[in-house]
Amino acid sequence: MIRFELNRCLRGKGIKLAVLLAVLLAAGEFFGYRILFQETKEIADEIRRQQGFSPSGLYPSSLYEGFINGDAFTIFNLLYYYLFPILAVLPFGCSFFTDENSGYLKYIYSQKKKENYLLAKYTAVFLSGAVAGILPAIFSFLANALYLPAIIPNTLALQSHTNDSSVMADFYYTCPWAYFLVYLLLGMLAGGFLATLALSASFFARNALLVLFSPMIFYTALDYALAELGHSEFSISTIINPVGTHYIERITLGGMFLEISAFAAAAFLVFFFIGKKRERIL
Amino acid sequence: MELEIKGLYKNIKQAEVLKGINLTLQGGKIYGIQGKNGCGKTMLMRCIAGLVLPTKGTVTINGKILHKDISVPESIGILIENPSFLKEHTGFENLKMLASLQNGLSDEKILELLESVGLSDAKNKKFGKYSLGMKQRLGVAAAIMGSPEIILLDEPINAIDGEGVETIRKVIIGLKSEERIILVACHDKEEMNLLADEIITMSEGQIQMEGSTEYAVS
Repeated sequence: MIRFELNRCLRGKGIKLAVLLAVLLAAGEFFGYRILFQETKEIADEIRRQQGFSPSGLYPSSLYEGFINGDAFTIFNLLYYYLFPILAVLPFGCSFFTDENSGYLKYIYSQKKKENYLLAKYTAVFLSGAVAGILPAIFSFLANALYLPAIIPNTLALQSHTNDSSVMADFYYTCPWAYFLVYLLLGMLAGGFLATLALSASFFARNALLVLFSPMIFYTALDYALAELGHSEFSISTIINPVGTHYIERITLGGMFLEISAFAAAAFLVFFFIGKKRERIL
Repeated sequence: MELEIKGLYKNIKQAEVLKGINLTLQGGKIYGIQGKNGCGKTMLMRCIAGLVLPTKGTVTINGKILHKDISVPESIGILIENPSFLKEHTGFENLKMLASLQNGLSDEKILELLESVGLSDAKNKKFGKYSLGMKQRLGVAAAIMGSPEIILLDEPINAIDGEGVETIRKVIIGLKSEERIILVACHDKEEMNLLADEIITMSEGQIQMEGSTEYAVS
């Protein structure tokens, strides 16, 4: 049953749209960082050198500072994490809504146990969201790796967002790939959760667009509410963005994983139990 | 093959849609259900398919009680209400995906099936581009795919042209066997007489009459 759902996901339009959006974000960041930051920086350094001043950034730019997850200079990091819920829900998040409202569900429920379908649907949507959520990071990393050296970032170069108060700052300046790997895992967890949130929204929404945007509404609303309460450290958008880590002094790495896992578990329970009781067969 | 329905009630909110249905269906026959819109034909089919939980009563298939001994009928094909498939996939792909839910079916078998309902020319056309009649034909193909023991067809000839009706009728009659129960709901009385061995007449959630086609017509 999971294979059936994954197969549907891979053949659908949504996954193509998610890949397209990820490519656009990665390409935008790549050119943005190369042209706007790197080249203007090189020109400025040359001018300073000619003027007899010591040029800033003698330490070369690192891949870890140049790809979308570590880039604090262009708008694309912000844009990526703003569009993150849409990206996660695009591949398969609306599929339950479509299955139910088109009547396709009756073919499945007449052949398979409801619980099996709901479990398979949750798993497939979670996995699709987890992968789609991190696609821009992967594409951007691969593109930037063509030009930027994967050297360890240097605190004195002042090209990094990460400082002493950042979560895992030690990791960043000693083993940056591990630092970003942890963030990739957090991103996958959050992507999976946000995609499955659309499943629960399908029970209450009358319109597919509302289902598509429901994770975005939750994500943004949570961010604003927590900012108002002075607890931005718990906002998902802050937790998953490696550039935003200096805001989150009051939460540990374990706490970050726990928070998103708790959200994902709640989304599962709502979807599974309402889905099991529901008899909306068109 | 035997399907037994005992004291079946189904309430939707305050409304009683099915009111104590008692029915025994035997393999080897085509049963026709007729009745006005809203008399409970579709709901009865949904109960048999296990899509909804009865408020009271049981559906027993070959001695196994649905929702108690088995979660879903072990071998069933349905066309209930509108045929609904994935718009962005072709007719062939849609059947192939549904076949994967029931232990799979070879491409040749799927192509044969499409040919039998008159869709061989449209096998590579996306479902979203199908006409109403083509959608209905694909719905029939999905219902009979894998030769299930129970086939439920709700208005199978809706929107199908004269020639197509004959094709579908032949396909349905060709499926008649001792191991199979076929239940067809149809508004066209003439067609029902040609198709069914026994006719069940429903009214306001109850069975009014049950008997052979000749008896029902008289």
